[in-house]
Amino acid sequence: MNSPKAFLCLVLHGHLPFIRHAEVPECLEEDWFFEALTEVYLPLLEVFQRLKQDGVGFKLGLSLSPPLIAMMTDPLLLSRYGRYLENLIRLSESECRRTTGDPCFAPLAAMYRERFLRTRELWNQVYHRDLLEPFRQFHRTGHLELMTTAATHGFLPLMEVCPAALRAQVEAGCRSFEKAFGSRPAGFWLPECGYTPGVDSVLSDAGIRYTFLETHGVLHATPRPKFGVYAPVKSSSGLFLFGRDPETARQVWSSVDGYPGDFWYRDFYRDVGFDLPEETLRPFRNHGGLRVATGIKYFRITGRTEAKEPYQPAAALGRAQEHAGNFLFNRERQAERLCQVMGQPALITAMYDAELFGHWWFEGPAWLEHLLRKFDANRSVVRLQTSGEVLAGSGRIQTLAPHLSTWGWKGYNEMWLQETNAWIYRHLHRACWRMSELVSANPAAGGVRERALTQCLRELFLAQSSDWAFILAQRTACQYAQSRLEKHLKVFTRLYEQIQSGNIDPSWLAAVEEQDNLLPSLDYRIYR
Amino acid sequence: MRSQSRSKVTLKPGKRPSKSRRKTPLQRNRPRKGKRLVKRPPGVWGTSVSANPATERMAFTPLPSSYGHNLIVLQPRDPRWLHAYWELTPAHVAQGRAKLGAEEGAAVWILRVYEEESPRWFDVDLSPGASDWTLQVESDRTWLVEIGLRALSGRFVPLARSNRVRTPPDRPSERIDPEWGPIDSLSAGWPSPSSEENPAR
Repeated sequence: MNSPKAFLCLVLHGHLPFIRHAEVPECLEEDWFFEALTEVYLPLLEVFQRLKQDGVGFKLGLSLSPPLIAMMTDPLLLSRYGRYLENLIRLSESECRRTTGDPCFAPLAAMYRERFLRTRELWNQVYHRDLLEPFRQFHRTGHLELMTTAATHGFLPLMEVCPAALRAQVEAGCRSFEKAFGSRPAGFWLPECGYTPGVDSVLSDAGIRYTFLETHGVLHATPRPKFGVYAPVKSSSGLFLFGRDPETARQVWSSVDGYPGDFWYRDFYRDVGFDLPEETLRPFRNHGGLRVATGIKYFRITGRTEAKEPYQPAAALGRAQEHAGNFLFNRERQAERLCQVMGQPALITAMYDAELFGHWWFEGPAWLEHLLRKFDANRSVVRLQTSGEVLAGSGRIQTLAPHLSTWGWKGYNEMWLQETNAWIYRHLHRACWRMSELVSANPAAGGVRERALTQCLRELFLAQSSDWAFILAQRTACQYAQSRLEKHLKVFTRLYEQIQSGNIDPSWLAAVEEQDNLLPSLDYRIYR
Repeated sequence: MRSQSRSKVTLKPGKRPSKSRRKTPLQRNRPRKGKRLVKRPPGVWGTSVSANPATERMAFTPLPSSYGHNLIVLQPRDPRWLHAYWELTPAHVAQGRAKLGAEEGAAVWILRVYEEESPRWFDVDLSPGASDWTLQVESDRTWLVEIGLRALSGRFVPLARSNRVRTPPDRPSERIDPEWGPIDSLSAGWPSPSSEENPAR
């Protein structure tokens, strides 16, 4: 077969903060995980399964963060998910009864009931409540190139003053992946694509072969990259770097002209959880009577108007198919243009949050399925490849030194270092330096002391989750984020003081270990 | 034309519902409007964290304002801005004031900002009681700061020195590798990330 004009590397990053509250019968914030299973991960697995059954060749990179992996295997959360699904199904059945005879809303209510019943079937009968196994299988067949990220998605550029913490976040992430999938990852997703000089050496030392940077992370590197982001590059430590293509980013993420804003797509905010009277919702929702999103949404975006029209699934799916065709068309024109300028096939790296597909953009999984089918049927100009395959097929690769960059707002650190959240770093850094003290003073602890040291590291990791600073900046679930940050810092401090004084309270330690049980095989000695 | 709903319960189109707890990626790039997006009854958000018996009482003690050390930490925010935070013990401050002697009374708190690539430095006056500051610098340079007291005479008593930090460049490098002569249309740069229209995510 003739060489294509470009290789497309499609990479999704799946992450949620570790949220698990065994101390209460239910917790509002745990819903984020349940929504993601219902709207993103189960639908995506179903798409991949259908493509595989139909013999469609597809290749994607997929990063699964350690907290997400941990939640996917936590018995308490899985049991609560079952209850969440049952509530959702009962709500959808109530909606079917309520909308009987309504030509607009009855079919939509029925659609949701069917979807949730199918979700339950996938969850219980197809996947037997184990989502890691289907991901493993797709990884083995080469359809998905799995990778991971830092232990708790800690924001690495603001750990420069605590290099031990940075190294530990990376190492713990790699070990968590190895435990789940049998080997260490070749690829690593930097949290928020946050790169700062020195991170490349840390990743290389951890055995990582490649990572991904935001566009300007490569374009502004020293010296100037010959091919921009359209060929892989590498750092002096030998780490390969993929730079994000801005065209594929804009087409899907742009608030102005990205696909998900199309007026036929489902509106995210018009949820029955906010529209229906409380007495109608009460039998199916708890959370102290709070209004929350349910996932049942009846309206389409319609336009820049508050007057939303009822959602029309067939029209929306038609748009998804058109947009998939449009994406392919644009990639082919892009590929022809690039190949002519470069004199060799181009690399186009398209990077997205996994949550876009199904949660933020309801039709996202359908778009992705159409896209992957189209790419399989049209392989002459643009061909899908995994990052590993791109590197295997590459000739000489330019060496350069990237500088600080992220994919956050304004492209650097400001999202995580502004008025609302800058205060956290004096506490996080102090905890990092105290952790170094503890490890130096306890090179080979055992028994309760070892458990306390390990729990210290666990609490530090949980405090470092980039989600808290992000949420504080967004001013959404601020109270929750602040509570989590403070709690982990305070537990860390108490453990630190107990270890220093030699008076560790074993029953309190056991209680905290049970609550904050992320990374069960964690070894505090990785902190160095 | 707007469809007529015949549902028994009328969905309420008028009132704008509370927004999601999380911003859509399409909105993440927009600067925050300074408004709380979700109103919750007081205490509910904290419930699941503070209801934890092992850590319940901790919820009521604040984090310390300092840890009894003398330090200043510098971090880059973006190509042209740095953020510094510091803490200084009262004893250390008293020692610094003592060094100023008679000039101590009118001394002001400053950050003295040094650029490593040149001999120049400049001062930033601090507000009384500040424990952190955001300061404007230049891109693609190495910086360090000292916090201290400056007398009216100009005499400066530093009380802590920061780590070194490099601000990233905000444009493609001038340095060209002769083996990899850049193709301008590919490597010339991208809409500046400081633009708010830039779809960075």
